[in-house]
Amino acid sequence: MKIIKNFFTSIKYNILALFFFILIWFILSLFFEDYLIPSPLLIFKNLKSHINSTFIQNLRITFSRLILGFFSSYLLGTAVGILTYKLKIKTTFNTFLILLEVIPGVILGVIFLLLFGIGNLVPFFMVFFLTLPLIAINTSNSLYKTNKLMEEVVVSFNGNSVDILNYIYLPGLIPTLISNLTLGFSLALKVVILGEFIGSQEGIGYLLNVSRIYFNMNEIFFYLTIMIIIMLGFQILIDFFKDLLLKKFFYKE
Amino acid sequence: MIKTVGLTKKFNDKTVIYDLNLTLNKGSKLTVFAPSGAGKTTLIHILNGLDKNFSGKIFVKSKLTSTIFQEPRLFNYMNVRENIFFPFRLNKINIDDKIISLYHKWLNICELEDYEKYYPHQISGGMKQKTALIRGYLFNPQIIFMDEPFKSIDIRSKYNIIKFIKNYYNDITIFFTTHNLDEIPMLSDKLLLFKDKKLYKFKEININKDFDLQEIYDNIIK
Repeated sequence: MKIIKNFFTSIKYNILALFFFILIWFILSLFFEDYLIPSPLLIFKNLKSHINSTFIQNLRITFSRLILGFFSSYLLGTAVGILTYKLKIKTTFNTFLILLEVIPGVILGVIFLLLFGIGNLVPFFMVFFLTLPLIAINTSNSLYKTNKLMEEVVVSFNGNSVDILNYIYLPGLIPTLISNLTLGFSLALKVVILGEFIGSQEGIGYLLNVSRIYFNMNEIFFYLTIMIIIMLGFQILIDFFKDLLLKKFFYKE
Repeated sequence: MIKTVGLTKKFNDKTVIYDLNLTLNKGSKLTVFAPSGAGKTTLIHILNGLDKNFSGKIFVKSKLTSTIFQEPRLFNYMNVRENIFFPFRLNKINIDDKIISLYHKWLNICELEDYEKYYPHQISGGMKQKTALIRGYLFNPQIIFMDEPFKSIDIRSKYNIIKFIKNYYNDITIFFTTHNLDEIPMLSDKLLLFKDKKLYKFKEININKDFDLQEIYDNIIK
């Protein structure tokens, strides 16, 4: 019962966030001409014309690139984080990862465009390379924060290293894995759009680029709203999942 | 049974335990009395296998041992009940009716009946320590190491818990450390005293009816 209540609370807060965004947008639209910042009302009025088969097709492409790129980087980033901790090379390796983090996405996009040409690979690799450092750094930092004294508890009750992994490290990692999901996903969403903007002829990023060329702000704002709705939907899903299965791993000291 | 032969422990150049020879038979209750920082925890860590960096020999003859640390060291993602049954889960020990009955008696003694479903961050320090105590005892280990386990437990609960342990766990070997004089006669039949802030001078005393705390304080500790 509490889970359902929390689920609806999460929906409520996410809708409130969306409402807040739309409110700011609406206020700004009052001060600017429609060709610069169109009113949200205008966008919603023309919703039917925006949601057509081309849009659906491109949304599907963006979404598959996002899922593929993000989850590849999520899995590998987590593995890299664990390995960095295990090999005790956190300081050296994290510095390298931070260096990767500061590379502007546009530069990386141009390099991948030259390497792979226009197509699926540019957005995929951009998502992969730009979200991986964040996930790896968060994972290794979280492992370093694990309470080592608890390892003694497991050993003192005749546990072995597999038990230490099961009862200490994996549960300790869960909050970080969840926060990596939300943080990484929002970053990946931005990056995949940028990747499609730079090096693709399909996807929402590509549609945004076309709209930019034709200075079609109505469409730009529509795509922006769609991105925000995708992000909020993902956030609601994660909150529900967290509440349903993993609540006990999120506690205040 | 616990036996140490010439047990010596050094931290860099500093000797903490020197040539300790000790035999503790099955069912013995030994209290190690020493001031803070004298190496009591180090000795427990060596005996329960957490510290393997020492010289000399130790023999701990038991399949099931348990340690109650100075701090509760509970799993934050497990509630009180899950924490208490953790050793059962870890060692794949079957939980029968007898255990459940004893568990409820423990909860009653420790006044934790209403807190079974609470998580460590939702209960007080004393309650956490009591949970750790139950966790250490309930799965009926053959040897139990207790490192100043009553630090954050109030005096009334402490007396009740000790009485309960004496009634239900008489055949367990207890290795108990403290720096509180009043705790010595409560749970031990033997006492190990360490002087000069080091563990290399020790005296074994059989605790009997005539055990006099004042005498120990005046003649040995002071």
